[in-house]
Amino acid sequence: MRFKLIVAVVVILALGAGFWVASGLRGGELPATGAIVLDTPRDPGSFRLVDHHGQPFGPAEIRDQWTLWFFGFTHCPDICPMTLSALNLTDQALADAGAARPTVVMVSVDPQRDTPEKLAAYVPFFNDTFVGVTGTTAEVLTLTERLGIIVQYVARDGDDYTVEHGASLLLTGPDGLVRAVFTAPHEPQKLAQDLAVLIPWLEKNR
Amino acid sequence: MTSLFLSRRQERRSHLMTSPSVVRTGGSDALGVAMILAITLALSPSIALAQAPITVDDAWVRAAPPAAQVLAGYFTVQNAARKTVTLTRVESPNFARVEMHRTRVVDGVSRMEPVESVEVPARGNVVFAPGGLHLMLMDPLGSMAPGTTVYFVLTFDNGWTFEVTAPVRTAD
Repeated sequence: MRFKLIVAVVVILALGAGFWVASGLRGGELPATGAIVLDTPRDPGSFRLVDHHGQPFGPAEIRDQWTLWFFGFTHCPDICPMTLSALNLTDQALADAGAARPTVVMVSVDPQRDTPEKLAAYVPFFNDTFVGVTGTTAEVLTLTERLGIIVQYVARDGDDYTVEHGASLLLTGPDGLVRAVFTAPHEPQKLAQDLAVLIPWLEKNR
Repeated sequence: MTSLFLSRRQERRSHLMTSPSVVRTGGSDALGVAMILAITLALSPSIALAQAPITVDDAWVRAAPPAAQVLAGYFTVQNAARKTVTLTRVESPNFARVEMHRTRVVDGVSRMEPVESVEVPARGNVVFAPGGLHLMLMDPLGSMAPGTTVYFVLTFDNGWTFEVTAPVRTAD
């Protein structure tokens, strides 16, 4: 009877110690979020784009900050404004909660029509901290390919065309690497909650 | 007493029919009133049918930056009839071109598919809403500042047309 009790206590202590060591080694469990957290961060490599102020936008511009990337275009009437509105609400929710606010960047997947001037009259409408980015078609497509964002041009009547594009949001860290992917649909409150737990966790653990 | 009651009801119905000649039935002639009442009741379903049992609610246009050359419009079409009706065309004097589209996210990729027509099921509705069916409103003819009112004309396959007003506003 006494022996059994000792065995039970030892087993419980061992289990507890095991969990403690494991959690110490791993720096805490990955919090449950709607995000896909990459085991191996993805490197966007070098890119030379231009922001909506006409300033260069490359790897240096996303260093030392968290950046939330969205891919869209101004000739997109429904889902792009919807996502930009959702991102604005997300940003407001993070600000209200006193949480870290990643810089929101919209990369135009339609650089032929989306000039920096066009983006300047479009992106800040949703939130004046948001950054619109464009460039040559080749530069944009090189970046989207490296990031795993699908871009397809689909002809419409005459010269008109539309763009099918990946609907995911990417989160890059202060080292400029992609750490997490959020798949559509994007719900502002959920996204804000996820970012509020994920960014501090990633800062500690990766 | 009964005949007087009937005659009053008859008068109200007659007004609805806007045929004053029917009102001139003497309150005492119960048989005549009853006959006319029967005829009116028989006719009334056709009066109801003459009004299209379609309603369009919650029409709005998403406020967009001044630089936007395309905007999106949304509404809900209700069909109270026993037959499916098909929305075949939407026009607007406020845009160079209007098309019906559907946004779909397939394997994580956003797509916009043109929609030629939209069936509104019998006793059902169809919702045009962000992220799904929407009007693609191209090249606004004038400012689309929030608070602006725009007009849509919806045409159905049975020839019905509806004019709808929609405010330009933000989603929230």
